[in-house]
Amino acid sequence: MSSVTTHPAEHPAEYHPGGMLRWLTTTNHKDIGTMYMTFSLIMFFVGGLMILAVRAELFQPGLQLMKPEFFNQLIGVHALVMIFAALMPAATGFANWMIPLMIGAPDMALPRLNNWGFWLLPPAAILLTLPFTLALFGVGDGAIATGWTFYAPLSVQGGMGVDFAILAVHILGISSIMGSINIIVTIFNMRAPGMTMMKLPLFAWGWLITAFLLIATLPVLAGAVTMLLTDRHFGTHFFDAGGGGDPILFQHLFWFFGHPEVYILLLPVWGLIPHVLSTFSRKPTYGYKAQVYSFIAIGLLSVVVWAHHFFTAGLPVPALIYFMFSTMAISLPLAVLFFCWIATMWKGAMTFETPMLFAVGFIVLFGIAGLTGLILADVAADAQYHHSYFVVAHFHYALFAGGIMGVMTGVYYWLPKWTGHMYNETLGKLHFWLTVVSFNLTFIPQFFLGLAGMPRRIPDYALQFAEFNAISTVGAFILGVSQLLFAWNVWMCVRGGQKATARVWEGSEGLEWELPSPPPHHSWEVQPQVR
Amino acid sequence: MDQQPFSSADLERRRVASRRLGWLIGAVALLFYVVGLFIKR
Amino acid sequence: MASRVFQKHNEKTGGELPANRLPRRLFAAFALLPCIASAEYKFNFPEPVTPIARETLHIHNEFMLIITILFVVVFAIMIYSMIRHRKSVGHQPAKFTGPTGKLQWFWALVPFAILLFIDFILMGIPAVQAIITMEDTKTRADMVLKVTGMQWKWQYEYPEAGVKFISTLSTPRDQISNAESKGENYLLEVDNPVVLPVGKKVRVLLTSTDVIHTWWVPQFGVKRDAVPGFLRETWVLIEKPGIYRGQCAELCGKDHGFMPVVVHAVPEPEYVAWLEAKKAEAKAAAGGADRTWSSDELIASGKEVYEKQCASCHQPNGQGLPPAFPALAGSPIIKGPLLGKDGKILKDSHVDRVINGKAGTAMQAFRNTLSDVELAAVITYERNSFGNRQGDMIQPAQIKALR
Repeated sequence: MSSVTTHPAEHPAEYHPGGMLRWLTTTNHKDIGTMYMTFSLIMFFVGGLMILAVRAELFQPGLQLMKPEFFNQLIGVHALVMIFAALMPAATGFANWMIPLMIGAPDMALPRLNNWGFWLLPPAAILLTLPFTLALFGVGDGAIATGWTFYAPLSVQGGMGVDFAILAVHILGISSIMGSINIIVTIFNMRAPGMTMMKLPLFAWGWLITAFLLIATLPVLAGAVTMLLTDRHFGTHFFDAGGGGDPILFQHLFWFFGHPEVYILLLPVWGLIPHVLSTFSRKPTYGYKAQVYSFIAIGLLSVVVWAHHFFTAGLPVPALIYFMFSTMAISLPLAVLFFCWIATMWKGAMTFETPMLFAVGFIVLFGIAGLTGLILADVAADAQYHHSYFVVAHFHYALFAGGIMGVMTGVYYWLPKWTGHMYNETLGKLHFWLTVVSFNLTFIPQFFLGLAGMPRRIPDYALQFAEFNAISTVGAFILGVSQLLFAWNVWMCVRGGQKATARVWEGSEGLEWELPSPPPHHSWEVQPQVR
Repeated sequence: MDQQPFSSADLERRRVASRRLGWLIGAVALLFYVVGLFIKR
Repeated sequence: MASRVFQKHNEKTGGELPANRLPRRLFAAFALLPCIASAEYKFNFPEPVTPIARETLHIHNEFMLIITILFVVVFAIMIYSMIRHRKSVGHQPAKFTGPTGKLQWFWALVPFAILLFIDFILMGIPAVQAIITMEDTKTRADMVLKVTGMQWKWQYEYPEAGVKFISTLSTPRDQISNAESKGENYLLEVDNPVVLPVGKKVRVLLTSTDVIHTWWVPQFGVKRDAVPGFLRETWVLIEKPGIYRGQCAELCGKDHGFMPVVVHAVPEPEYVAWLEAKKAEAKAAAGGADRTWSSDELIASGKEVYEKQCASCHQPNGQGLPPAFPALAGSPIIKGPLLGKDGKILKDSHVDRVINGKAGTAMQAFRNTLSDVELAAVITYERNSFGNRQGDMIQPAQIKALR
């Protein structure tokens, strides 16, 4: 049994401001984690509202609600918000809250850096969305309208929305790099005695690989958008053939970041799912080492597959063949993960509280993402899928069913620890079922739309696509409204509810469950002893 | 496996080491950025 | 047995997961998939009419079958576990954390080996062959079609015959704005379709004048980017006569969804006749440059050109959509001089803009897109419409000389 210390004596000399100032200046990992989660939830709804407007326009053929220019802004900003302002901050929030608790550290290694990392986010979010407001007053013609991928030369042409987005991306990138540095040095230097690397909880391993990927790839994105900025305003020709450049260079640079980015979004989830499965199966995690090696393999592979995002751009044949095979290779460590997840459940004693429901839902639906990703890798068939709704469906299975539902798994799992109260279980289960059913209602038709020939990023479509679009829109609205249940449940849980024990869940294991719920302001004043 | 928890001197040393490593990683990130600007096809 | 389980579940109170209902639902849904994948075109690609499209459909069906089987098998195992290995039925949890013994190692490694086989051998090797064939545009090519993407239309060129024309969406704006009911080929119809002969291998060259567009015809199984400043290629060999419709598949600005591709595939004699007619048309249009046009003729002709080529950005009433698309009404550039004192093009003048475009913006160079007559007409029209009263005009012959 690890020995938890007695509660520390009060330190009256410490600076503990209240109110707004507390949140602005806090260096406490739990406070910062809470801010990340709150920010993420708000931005999730902002991004969600945008796409509901899009789906409303796509409900029927014809342009009913908006001009095409505005449509193009909504789809791009939706993606930027969901990826950079919802998913990544949620994952970072988890890291901040849980990593020090899990490894027995008193706080993150660099607490002030932690604070800065968070406070860069609200200004960046404002920058992304400000152009919408400015356009209402006749300044500029709106937010970025190139899609989140910023392809040149379209992005060279675009109005000031592109400049705002470039600046926002720089700031978001710096925030993520700061967070990654903090996570790496915390995991390397601040583990409690006895916690060797091969005893590190899988969630921490997942984030460790994520942090390295962020540091390797965000600078390349920053470089690419800087080159875009200079092409736009300072007379360079990086992406302009007339000046000796190449538009496809932008795609190489962007996707060199972009592909690892999707694993950056998913690795923290892959790290936390085993915790949940083990807890609710009341069984130790299966294949700990295999999962660690798989994380590392996926991390390494993820940086050498980027061109599968633009197979139709005219790559030479050897490149097409190489990228096809390297992309398919990722399915192997991913299969290891699926195997280990199911093997953790196998012969356990399962109960299906909300976190476990979300975890199981994640495994099934993310499985669809992985399998459809496999067929997308086949260059010989990709010409039909590329830039069609088939791809849209695939990545929403990966990023919603994988990313967002994974985040929800973590939130339901850890909320009692953070707040000291149990959430409403009935509401949680209702939220799960509504989400799963409406999510599939939204996106399964989109697979068929892609196969039938509907391209992406169009505000209006030919008549044969009408039926499936209508179904998809209905699903999307149910999906959107269902998330209000989640927000309500979280809010009520923060305010009060049945008291949570330290253990919270019957089958939970790990240092984080030995602290009270909620943990005291200074989590581990004296380091615990690891068995 | 009965180990002593870290003393506050230990913690301080670890924090200094963390700061050093932090700056190093930041420098590497900056290096990638600069190199990226020079990539041509 | 199922109904007894159902009854037992109903007797329970509280929010226990109805896991026993789940497996049947899931099995039913996914057993349907293989049928769907192979037969019905509403849930699958439209009918293929080229060798590439047929190959793609075949690969897709094969892969869909494989992943469906993988999905069903893996999740059948998981769902079985969710039913049997539950606390509420009294199952005691095991403690293993990895494979123990040879049999378990076998079970752990076999799925891995199967996946390896599927990826790299079963699907990978045929894919390599297919890719090489799909990328081989030159072997036994019978003719060349050059496709140029523009914001927001396609230009088609038959280089060997000297025929060139622009293909623009012909769906009326009223249908799009829901003022009129939509026609059968809503958003997939154009004024000047591509005509190609059946049974001949056509080498398709692609480029763009402004941003990246993508030429896609689903029934051809062909999708290739049109990159400004570069030449890309692909090929089609259409096996069956018919009308084939596709769309631009790379976000290229506000009317990305409004620049369809329409190809008429016809027997070769019909194609030859069409090509001859097009050649004659081109000659007639070029001939127009040799005579003198009246102002009224130019303005009337210019209005047609304007509505097809310019109105989508600068709007039918010339008000534009500032700041991206400046207004032509009252434009200082249009109010400026037509030509320099030496009779040459003045930099940043009206004529310069139309012929040479404006670098770094959506205003493309129309020098290669429009004929001498069209250029002269549209410039004259713009100078004398929307409230502009320059009173001057420019002749096709002048444009020809200025090139």
